[in-house]
Amino acid sequence: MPLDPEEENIVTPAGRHRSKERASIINDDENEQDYLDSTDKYDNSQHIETSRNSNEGNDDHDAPEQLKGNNGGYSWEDEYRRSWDIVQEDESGSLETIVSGLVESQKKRYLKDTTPFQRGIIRVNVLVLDYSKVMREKDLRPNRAAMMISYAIDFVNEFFDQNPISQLSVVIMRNGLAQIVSEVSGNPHDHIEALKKLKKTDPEGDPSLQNALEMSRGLLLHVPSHCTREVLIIFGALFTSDPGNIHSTIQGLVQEKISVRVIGLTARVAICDELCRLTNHGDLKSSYNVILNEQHFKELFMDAVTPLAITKTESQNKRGFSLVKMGFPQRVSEQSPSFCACHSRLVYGGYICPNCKSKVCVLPTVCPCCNLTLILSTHLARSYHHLFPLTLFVEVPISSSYPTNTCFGCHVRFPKGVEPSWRATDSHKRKKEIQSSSRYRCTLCGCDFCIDCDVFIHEVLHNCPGCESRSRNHKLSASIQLTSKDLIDSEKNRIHIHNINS
Amino acid sequence: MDAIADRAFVGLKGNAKDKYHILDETPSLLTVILDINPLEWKKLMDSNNLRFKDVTSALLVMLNSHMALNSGNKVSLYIANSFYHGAKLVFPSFDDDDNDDSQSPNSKEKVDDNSSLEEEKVNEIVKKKRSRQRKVNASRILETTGIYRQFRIIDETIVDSLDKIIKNEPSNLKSLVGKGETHIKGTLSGALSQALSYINRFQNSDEHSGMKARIVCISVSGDNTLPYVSIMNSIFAAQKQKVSVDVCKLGPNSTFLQQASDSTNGVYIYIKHPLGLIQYLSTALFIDPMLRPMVVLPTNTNIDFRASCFITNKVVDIGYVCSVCLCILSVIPEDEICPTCHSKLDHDLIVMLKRKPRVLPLVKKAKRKRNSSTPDINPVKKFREN
Repeated sequence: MPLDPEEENIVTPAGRHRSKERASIINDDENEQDYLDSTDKYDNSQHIETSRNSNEGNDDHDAPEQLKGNNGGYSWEDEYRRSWDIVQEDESGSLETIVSGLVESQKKRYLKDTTPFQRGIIRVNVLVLDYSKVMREKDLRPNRAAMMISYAIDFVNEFFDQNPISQLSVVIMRNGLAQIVSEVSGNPHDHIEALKKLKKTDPEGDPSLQNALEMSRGLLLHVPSHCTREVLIIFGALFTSDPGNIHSTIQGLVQEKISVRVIGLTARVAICDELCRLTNHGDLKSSYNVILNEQHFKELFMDAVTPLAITKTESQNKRGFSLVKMGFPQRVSEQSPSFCACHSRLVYGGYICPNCKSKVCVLPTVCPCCNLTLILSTHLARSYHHLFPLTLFVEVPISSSYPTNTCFGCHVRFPKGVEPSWRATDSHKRKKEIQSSSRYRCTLCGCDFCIDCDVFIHEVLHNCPGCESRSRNHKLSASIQLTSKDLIDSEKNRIHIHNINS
Repeated sequence: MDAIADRAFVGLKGNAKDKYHILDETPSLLTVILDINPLEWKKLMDSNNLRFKDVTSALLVMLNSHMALNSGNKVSLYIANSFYHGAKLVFPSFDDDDNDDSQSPNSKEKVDDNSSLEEEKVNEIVKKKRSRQRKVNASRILETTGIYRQFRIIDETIVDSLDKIIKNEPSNLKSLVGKGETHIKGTLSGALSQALSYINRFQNSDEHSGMKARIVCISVSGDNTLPYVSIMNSIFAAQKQKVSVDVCKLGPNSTFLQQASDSTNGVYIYIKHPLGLIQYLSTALFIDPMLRPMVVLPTNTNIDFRASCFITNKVVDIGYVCSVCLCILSVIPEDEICPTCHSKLDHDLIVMLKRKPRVLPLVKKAKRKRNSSTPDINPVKKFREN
C-alpha cells in the first residue's frame, strides 16, 4: 500500500496501526517464501473443503461455485496471500498465540498407521547399493554415493536396533557385476565396518540389476521358512546392463517368495516397476519410490526398518506358522579369559549355550557348536512395539476451556482456551485454522500431551505414560470423553496439518 | 627412554585436564522414582524395623547433596505403585493451577477477565497462603528450620505431598474396594515413562541442552507388579536417550530391573542393611553420568537373562518362540495353536520339533546301517552305550 510520509507522522490510532503493520511486513520478509510455500499447499486442501460447502460465503463475485476461493474470489487468487495477513493480534494485543501456533504447525506429528498387523518379525534382508558411475553425480551432496553410504550406515544401526533377531547383508552393483560387501550376519558392526571401507573406493562402470538380484537370491536361498526374505535396492541409474533375461530372474524371485523394495534416486524405471509389482503382490505404493530430496531419501530408507506386514494371501497359502526353537543363555563373568566358540578369541565372560555349554561372546547369534539360535529375552522385547503399536493421539478441538493446563508427560504449560466469541468472527477465519489447542489426547486414558511428547512417545517410548500411570483400569469420565463429532473434527485438522508439512 | 616417558606423561596430563574441565561444567538432572507400594512397605517395616520416614529423610539428603554439587543441577521426584494415585510427579510440583480449577472454576474465569496486574496479585496472595500452609505442615515433620532456601523448597514440597498421599491412601483404598475395583496394576513403568518424557523435554530445550540425566529407582515390589512389555519399552527408550537407570532394591530381587540397569549402564544394588540406606544412596547410587566411563560401577554382573514362559511362568533355558507374536513357550502347545495370538502352527514342523533323539544300537552295526533314517545322533549317549 502506498504510504504518504505525512500521513505516517500523524499519531492517530489508525496511523499507529498502519505503522505497526509495516513493521510486521519488514519482519516477515525473510520468512515470506516459507509462508507462501506452506500456504500454497494449504490452499489445495482449502479449496476442496470450500467447494464442498460452497453454499456458504458471500456472493459478491461472479466466480462459478466450484472455483470459488476462500475470500469469495477465484481460488487461484488465494495463492498470493500475504504472509502478514496470517499474523494478527489476538484480543489482548499479543502475537504469542499465533506465533506458537505457527511454530507448532511446522513440527511434524507422528501419523503412521497404527493398525496392528501381523508382521514378519524375523527378517533376512539384502541391501543392494548402486555403485556404478552414475553415483558420482553431485545432485546429492557431496555426491550420491557418499550420501547413500552415510544413510546406509544409519539404516544398519536402526535396523538392528528395531529388529535385533534379523539378519542383513550388503551387496553393491559395480562394473556390471554384483559384489558382496558383507555376508549375511546379525552383527551391525560387520556391516558398518564394511560400508566404511567401501567409502574409500570409487563408483565405477554400469549397474547390473539382474546380477544383483541373482546374488541376493543366492544369499537368501538357505533362509528358513519362518524368516521373511527381503531385498532393498538403492537404484541411481536409469538403465541396467544384464547378461541374460531379467524377466526370468524376477519370476525366480516370485517363486522364492522374495520381496523387493526399490528406492530410485533419479526417476521411475519400468523394470523396477515390474520387479516391485510382481514380488510384492501388486503393492507398488510402499515398495517402489523415487526420492524428492535428501530428507525424503532418508525417510524412505527408514521406512524399510519397519517389518513388512504379512498379506492375506500369504497367510492363507501357508499351512501354519512356525515355532522356532531358541536358547536363552546365561551370562557369566570370569576372572581369567577363555576362548569363545564363535571367534576363537580370548575374552572375559560371555554367554553359555544352554544346549551344548559352549561359550559365545556376542548375542544374538547361532551357536557354532549345536546350531541353536541364541538370544536374550530383551531382543525379543525390542520388536514388540511393531506388533502392538501405540494408538495415535487425537488432537483436542479448540474450545474456551480445557480440563488440563500442563502436558502430562513433560509438564510444559499449555496455551489457554480461546473465547468462543472471538473465534466466531469471520475476519479471523484464517487465524483460526493456524491455531490449535496444542493438546493431543490419548483416547484410552484421556491424558493430554504436547506435540513434542506426542512425537517422542510414538517414535521412541512406545507406551503411553498416562495409561501406565493409572493403577486401575481407568474408565473415562464423561467430561473428558470426546464425542464422535469432535473426533471427526480433529481428524480433519490432522490431515490439514499433515498437508502443510508434506 | 626419558623422552618417551616424558611425552607419555605430558599427554596424560593434558587429557586428564581436559576431562576435568568438561566434568566441572556440566550440570545434571537427577530423577528419583520412589516405589510406595503399601503392602510391600508393610512387610519391610515388619521384618527390618525400617520406617518410611527414615527412607524419606535419606532420600532428601541425597537430593540435597545433588543440588549442592553444582548450582545448575536439577532434581525431580516421582512416586510409583501407589494403589490410589498410580504414578505421579511430586517434585517439581506443577499442579498448583489444577487445584485452583478443581476448587473454584468460576473464580478462575473471573481472574482471567481482570487485568494481568490484578491477576498477578491474586496469584501471589494465593501462593503466599499456600506456602504458609505448607510451612506449617512441613515444620511439624522437619526438625531444622534454618536451611538453604533451595533445600527448603525441595524438602517442604516433598515431605508435604508424600504426607498427603500416604494419609489419603487408606481412605481412598477403602472407597475403591467399596466400588468393587480390586484389580490394581504396578505403575513403575508409568513413572519411568513420565520421567523419560520430562527428560526428553529437558534435553531438547534451549536452556538445558546437552544436560545429562539419570534415574534412580527405589523399588520395594517384585517382578510380579511390573508389566513386562511397557517396562521393556521404557528401558529401550532410556537406552536411546543415554539415560542410565540405577536401581536401589529393597524387598525381593527383580530380574527386570536388573536387566534395566545393565542395558542402560546403571547400578543395581540390593540393600542388605536397609537401616544404612543413606550410605548406599550417597555412595554407590551417587555416581554422576559424567563419571560413569571412568568409574567401575558397583553392580552385579551375573544377571539372569533367561526369559520366563508365557504359560507356566517358569524360567526357560531352551524354549520355543512363536514366529508371529514372539511369545516364549517352554512346552509345545498340545492343540498346535499359539496361546497368545491364536494363530495355527505348522503341524509338520511341530512333529519335527517333538522328535526325540534316537540311540544307535552299536557302532559296528551303525556303520552297516548308515543309510537308515536316523538323523539325530546323540554322541554322548552313543559313547555311554559303548
